[in-house]
Amino acid sequence: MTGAERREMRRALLAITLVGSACFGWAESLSRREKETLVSEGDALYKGGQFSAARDKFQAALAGGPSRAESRRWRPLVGRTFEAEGNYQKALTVYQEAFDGDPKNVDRWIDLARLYDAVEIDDQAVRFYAEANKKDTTRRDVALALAALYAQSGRLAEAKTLAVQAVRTEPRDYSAQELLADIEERSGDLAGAARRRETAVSLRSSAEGYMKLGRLWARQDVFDMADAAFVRAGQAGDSGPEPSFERAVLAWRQGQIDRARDLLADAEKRAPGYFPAGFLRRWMDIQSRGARAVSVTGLSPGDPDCARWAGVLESAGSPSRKGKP
Amino acid sequence: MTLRTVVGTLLAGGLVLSTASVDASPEADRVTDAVWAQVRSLPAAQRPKVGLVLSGGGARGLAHIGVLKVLERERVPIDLIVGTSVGAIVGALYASGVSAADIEGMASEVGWDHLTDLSSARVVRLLVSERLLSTQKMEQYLQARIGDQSFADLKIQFACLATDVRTGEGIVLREGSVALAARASATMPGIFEPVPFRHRLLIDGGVVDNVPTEVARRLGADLLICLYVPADLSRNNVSNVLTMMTQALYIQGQTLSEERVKQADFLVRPDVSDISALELWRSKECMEAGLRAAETAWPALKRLLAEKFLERSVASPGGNPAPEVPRP
Repeated sequence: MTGAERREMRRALLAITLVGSACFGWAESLSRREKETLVSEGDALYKGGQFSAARDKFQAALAGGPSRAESRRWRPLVGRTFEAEGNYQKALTVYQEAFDGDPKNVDRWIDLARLYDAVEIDDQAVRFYAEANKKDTTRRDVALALAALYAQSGRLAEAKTLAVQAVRTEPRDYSAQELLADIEERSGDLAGAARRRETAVSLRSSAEGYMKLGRLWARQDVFDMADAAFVRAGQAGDSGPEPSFERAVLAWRQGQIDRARDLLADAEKRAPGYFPAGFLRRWMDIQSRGARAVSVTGLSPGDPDCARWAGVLESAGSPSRKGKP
Repeated sequence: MTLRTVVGTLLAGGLVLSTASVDASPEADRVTDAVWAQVRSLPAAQRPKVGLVLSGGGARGLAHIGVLKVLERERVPIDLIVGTSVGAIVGALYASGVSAADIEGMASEVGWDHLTDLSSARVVRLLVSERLLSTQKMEQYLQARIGDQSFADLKIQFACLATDVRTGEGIVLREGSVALAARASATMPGIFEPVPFRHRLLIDGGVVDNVPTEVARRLGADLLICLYVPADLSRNNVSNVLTMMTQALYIQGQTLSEERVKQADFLVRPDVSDISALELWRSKECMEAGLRAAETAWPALKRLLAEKFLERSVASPGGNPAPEVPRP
């Protein structure tokens, strides 16, 4: 074959390849570098919230003749984009395919578990997380997700075991401390839960965290600790009228009526028309004035639930009700 | 409708709330929490008498334990417990001072062989010679845990319901040995032999009244919380004469129970309908279901308790709830 004939032959083969690609969708084989570039571009798009564009990149990489190992790594990324878009059905299909191709990989169990958790198929989520936890006991994220699911279904002892393990592994994990505090609180160990919440707010200080802590101490009638926590809540940020209101309740419960009134005034100053403060102020009026009528005028229940309480107040404050058996 | 009418309707009694969570506004929740913190420890004379009705239901009734755990955790004062069948056993233990956590521990381990003389040989005897099984061990099991207490010794007023198999009367047991009474109340007919009790021959109270709300009202409960664990009848096999007859009895019983439930102020109905009365080995599932149901119901129950306690405290001779004395 002459050189000219060989050139002619190569052109013909190239033409056949191009026509084949166009007509039958034959995959164009990409170099390893090109594929890696596509995947890293996809990652960047995913992180930027452009899930559909990210998926195009991942799929292009997968269409570029991936090795088995590459396919195992990249297929779940496509599932991740569907999951991020809330398209759980397609995500499930992709994750299931990825799982079938790589069942020994703990991440494939976690993908499915997370998806079942998102669509609230709890028994399946528990099954997959539990298996993942068995395969890799060092994964705190898995242990915590499983603990949260156990807690949700009332399996508090199992939830606690996992959460305790997670906290032991990393005591500075705020969410682990929070979860364990929730579990302890639900198990009736209020003192333990309060200590745990102390640790949690020391890791991440927030008004909400201190409010939770204060309410937990208040439930146990540990007034000074509760008050201190509410004070910290007030200092931690724009917490509105609630810290002052809760402190007023503590003062009221201890018979410190003047202090309670001052704190209620502070709560109402922070949020004019704050119903709980108005309610409690009037209730203290009923207590101190005995049978005399207490007006609910000016008390503005913003919703039917508060209206119910306003009605109770009106009924209790009415002179005709006093002394009725 | 005026505010007063709304509140009047809600406080008029006979109100039954479902176990569905009632999401109140955060501001209303703050009021409820404040009032509840103040009134939960009122002396009994200044608040309504709180009654707890524990229905029958065999293994399903172990869900009561999960509910008790939540009530105990939230420090709900219980003044009266009335139970039927498994409700009588759980109620007897709780009324005698055993904590919900300890009852949970017992329920996790208990099997029919702890409560009856169940064995292969006994089952053959039951089938061949129609000799019923004995529940003597159930009484011994209870005695081992609460001793030989009589009703008068109990920390919480307690009553349980049994059926006189000769007369068909519902018998409210409130005197004598608690263990014997609870055993009689939980003696399922057709499997276990009746329990002689004074001049009577007693079987399971569920035959006449599986949800003894009426009894609790008669015993003075002002505010009645009912724990009810019905079966899902549609799951039962009704392929032959015997199962058809059994199903008919279940339907009758459940129809009556649904009526009884309406007399409660608050209903907690754990979802254990797929568990049969004999599946004691599913105790954990039942208790978890009870805990979940009670936690879901707690915000609404707390609100009801806070309202009723507050209302009674104002109306009582003692007047308004006094501020608490700070603890040293």
